[in-house]
Amino acid sequence: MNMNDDYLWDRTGEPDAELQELEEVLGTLRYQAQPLTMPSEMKTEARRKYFPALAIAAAVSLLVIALGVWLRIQHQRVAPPPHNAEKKNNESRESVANASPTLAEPKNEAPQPKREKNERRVHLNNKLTLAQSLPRHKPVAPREELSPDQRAEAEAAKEQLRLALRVASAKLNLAQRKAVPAPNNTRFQHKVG
Amino acid sequence: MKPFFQNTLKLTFPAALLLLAMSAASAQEPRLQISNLDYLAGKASQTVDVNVDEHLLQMTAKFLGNDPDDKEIKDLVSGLKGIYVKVFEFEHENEYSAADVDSIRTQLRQPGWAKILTFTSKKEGSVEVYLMTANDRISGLALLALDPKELTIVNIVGPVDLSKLSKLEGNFGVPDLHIEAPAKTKPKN
Repeated sequence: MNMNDDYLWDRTGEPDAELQELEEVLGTLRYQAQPLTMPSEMKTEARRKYFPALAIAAAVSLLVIALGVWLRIQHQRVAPPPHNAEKKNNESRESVANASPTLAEPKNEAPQPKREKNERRVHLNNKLTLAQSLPRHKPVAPREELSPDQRAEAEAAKEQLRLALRVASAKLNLAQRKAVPAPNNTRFQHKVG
Repeated sequence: MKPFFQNTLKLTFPAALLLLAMSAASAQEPRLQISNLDYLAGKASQTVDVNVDEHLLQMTAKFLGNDPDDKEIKDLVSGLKGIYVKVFEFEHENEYSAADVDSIRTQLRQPGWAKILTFTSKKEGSVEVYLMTANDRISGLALLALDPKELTIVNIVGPVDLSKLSKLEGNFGVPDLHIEAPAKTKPKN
């Protein structure tokens, strides 16, 4: 077994046949220089450019939807403005009313009789729900064409408004007469409209 | 897809902040929700429920004539967006509790409302007046009057003129309501 192993060190000397065979078999796996090619699945850089834009678009659309919902809610809270035609009607009605007061408000012919002084309270009987039952969005016919029922409804609404203002005024006066203004809020005392 | 979600989240945060600000702004609403007190109508002997919204106010204003009383009302309601009043009169005392009014008080504790007047008496109950202001202008008024036998809630939405409103009592050919107990002689208008 006197074997010269120089071939193993520097490939000089007599090579071993078995060794050569191994070299041939494993040689197919040795490093072979070749240009770098990127796998197709790695080419995603170009697509990523769209992500920020998509994100912005998503956020903007979220905002727009939210704004739309908010505006809708706000719009529902506020009573819808009268229709143009109705506006015109009202304007013309007002002008008629101004021109001929007799058409406008059939004045209460006789002034309402004053209640007796010893009457301490106005009877707040009957639950007033007229405001809810009145047609809100129906164009109002000109006054001179109002049916007796409509006129009665309008008069009742007016009375309802008066009653509301009277109650508010009475309670406010009571508070003003008796109350001590809360500190730090005196600036509101003389504020008007 | 991860960066997409990250970016979306980053942008959604300020959007959420904006939404919060918007909802906070809308929370400063001078209109009170007082319909949740309707159940008291069952206990009350007399009830007054007035709901006059902006549309009805405008319509009613057109029916007001030119006599001084009507003119006064016209001036007062012009620019208003609603008047809501509830009065519950009870046969006996303590038929309603302070807890019944808590829902209203909770709304009046929200930003924008400021209590300007308070009157409390064991015999005569209490009256509280609140104002909501926006840009140094009155945008709403709320009044809570708690008598032992009567509960009154008034909510006026819009730029109400307090001096004109307080002058209205005793007008319209109807005497004062004389809510105040002492029989003081008050000069008539």
